[in-house]
Amino acid sequence: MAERKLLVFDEIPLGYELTPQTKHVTQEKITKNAEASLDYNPIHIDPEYCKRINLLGKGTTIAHGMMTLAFMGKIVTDWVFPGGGWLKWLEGKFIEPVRPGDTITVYARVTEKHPRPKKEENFVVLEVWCENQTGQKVAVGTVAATIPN
Amino acid sequence: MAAEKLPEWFEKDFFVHEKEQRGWDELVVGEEYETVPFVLTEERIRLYAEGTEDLSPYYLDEETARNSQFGGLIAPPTIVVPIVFASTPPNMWIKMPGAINPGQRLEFGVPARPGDTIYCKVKLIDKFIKRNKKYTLAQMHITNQKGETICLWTGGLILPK
Repeated sequence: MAERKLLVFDEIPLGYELTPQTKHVTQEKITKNAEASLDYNPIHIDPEYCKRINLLGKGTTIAHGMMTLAFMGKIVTDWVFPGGGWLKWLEGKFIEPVRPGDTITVYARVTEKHPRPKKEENFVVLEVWCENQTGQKVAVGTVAATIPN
Repeated sequence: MAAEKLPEWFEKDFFVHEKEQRGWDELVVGEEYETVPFVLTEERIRLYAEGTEDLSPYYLDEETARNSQFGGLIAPPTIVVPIVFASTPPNMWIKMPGAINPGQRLEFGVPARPGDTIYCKVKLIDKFIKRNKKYTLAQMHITNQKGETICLWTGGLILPK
């Protein structure tokens, strides 16, 4: 096992940016996520239905918003879990649909630091957002993580 | 660990119960929904980790998880998604064909772990119309067998009817 390097609350600078993470979304991956998440809504898995109702004006399936939210959580847990931290909250608004064929890049930046009398309750807040391959924002939100050291 | 058992009412085909689903006009703020407990298996955690492309060792590797702040395997934070879809009835609006997710907020307590028996309390806390779209807002309190909060989930959908 690689040696763990714990995150230290006092050493985390405001504005610190995590390394962006990119995900390519396909219908196969969306369908796999439907099976994993038990969300079989036809808007995700049934192209014929989406075409028939002309879903969101383009008539294609769309990815689960919760899959995008999972991506927004992952960029932060990849940083804080090995660093000894915990996830406190995860919130996101899905402002544009993610469709099969899209490539989504997730960005995260520390925007707030919340020191607490008990240091194990110290937490940071990150602004997290996702852009598609054209640079259009598809989701925005915040993630908070407790940094107990 | 025993194989996962989904509730008998669980239905993959969301069209089957579409006609029984009450539309936005019929929903009453404050109403609560019948749910069933769900036992979280390592298999579901693995499937979910693969489905969201998040193969963190804290979810999948016993040794790494044991030597971490978690002291053992945990589930990804958004594991509450399959938990809620397993626990809620097939005629509830969260399974309405065509419903769109505008955004969600998850506040976490203790992590969910393999073997946990998980309970969901689901209540409609608001409904509103905005830009001619019909929104619901629910609060889902998700707890483990010890009564500890795993997640307080606030969110809703834009309903097609």
